[in-house]
Amino acid sequence: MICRLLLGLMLVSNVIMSAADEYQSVPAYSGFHSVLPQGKAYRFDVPAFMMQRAPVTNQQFQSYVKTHPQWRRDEVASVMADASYLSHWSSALAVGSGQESQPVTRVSWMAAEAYCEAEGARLPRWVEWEVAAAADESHRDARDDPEWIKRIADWYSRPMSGPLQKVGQGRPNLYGLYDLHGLIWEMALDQSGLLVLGDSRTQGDAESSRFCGGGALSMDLKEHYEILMRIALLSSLEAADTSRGVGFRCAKDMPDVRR
Amino acid sequence: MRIYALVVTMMLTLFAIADESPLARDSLYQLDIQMQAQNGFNGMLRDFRGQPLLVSMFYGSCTYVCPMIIQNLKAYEKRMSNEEQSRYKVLMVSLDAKHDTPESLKGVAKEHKLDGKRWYLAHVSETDVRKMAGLLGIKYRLFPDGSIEHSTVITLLDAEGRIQTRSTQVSSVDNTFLNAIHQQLQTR
Repeated sequence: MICRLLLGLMLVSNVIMSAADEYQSVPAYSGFHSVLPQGKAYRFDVPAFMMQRAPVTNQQFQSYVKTHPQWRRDEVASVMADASYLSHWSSALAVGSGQESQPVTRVSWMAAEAYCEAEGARLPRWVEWEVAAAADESHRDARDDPEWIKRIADWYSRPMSGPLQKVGQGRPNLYGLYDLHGLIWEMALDQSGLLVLGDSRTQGDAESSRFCGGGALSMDLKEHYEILMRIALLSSLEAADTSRGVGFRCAKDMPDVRR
Repeated sequence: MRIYALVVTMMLTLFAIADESPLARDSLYQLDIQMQAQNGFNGMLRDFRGQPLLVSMFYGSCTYVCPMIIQNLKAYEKRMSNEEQSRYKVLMVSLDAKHDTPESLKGVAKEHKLDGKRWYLAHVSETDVRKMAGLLGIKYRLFPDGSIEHSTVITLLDAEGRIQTRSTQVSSVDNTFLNAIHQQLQTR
């Protein structure tokens, strides 16, 4: 009985893993409350988009590198990825056993975007990720729900020092998306500009670089420490930087949706 | 003007043909970026291989910092010897893929009296804007009203497209940067 259950679970998780590169639709969200100022307010009309169900895995990235050898860790240009790129793999073209279904990390923004472009996709925009991550299993915006806040806090309080979990282990959210919280930090298409100030009159000597502190972020979401951490982390990454805790998934424009 | 563009394109083609050796791993020319400039140039980023290059990013309707970047680069140009000036090359890539076309960038070049033989104001695709900015370490953000906020960095590439030095000081001449430009333009 237990064997059958385990087999069933394995099959289900395999289905999830192999379907992890499939895209789910996320409907348009008008008036979405973003943590980032959008013009004069924090409300943004986010057009519908598509997003992969789970982060890209080591196995998927391995397949990509095999067909795109310029992205091998021993071939890659240093302007595209730093010295730690894919350093956890057992060789340039092989992940090594036991890590296939983990989300791929130690990939740079350049590498991630190239992977997504190779399948006609792109990295998600910051605000798209926000919309996706605001949803729990049954509400499109659960961010005010104390239960949700607690669950998120629990996920993010797990230490990153242990081995990464496989993708697709938890429950999917309202949009059928897995692992938006607490597994890895996921990159965004427009991450480098997240903290760029919105007032050109303050641009004088470039020495006092145009970056804000927390001042311009919406304080209505201040309990969501993980959002602030994510902004701080992603905006500090240069295009070739890699990090053990940073990975990605891809997104696409919804066909026939005008931006 | 067309003749200049033709000559420039031919010279650049010659440079490209001349060096087929593999690019250094830290060369920005590893990236495939197609660009069209106000002076008629229509080619790839790596077509600039073979000579040092000053690169920055801006956009046409930028009214404050971008003119400063251009003035700054002109200030360095003035401080070059005649010989160095003939090798002084600037590539300004537009952050505004939507609105800045080679045509409209002609207007910007005219406004600032930029010599089309040495100044390239280029349009690249929106995707490539991100990649260029990534390579150059320029952070930017597009706003709904069409304005673009961005950090200001001028990068000096050697003839192989490797970053030699960068300057964020655009309100005045940075002597370290100035010396680096001299050095690059003299090494021939």
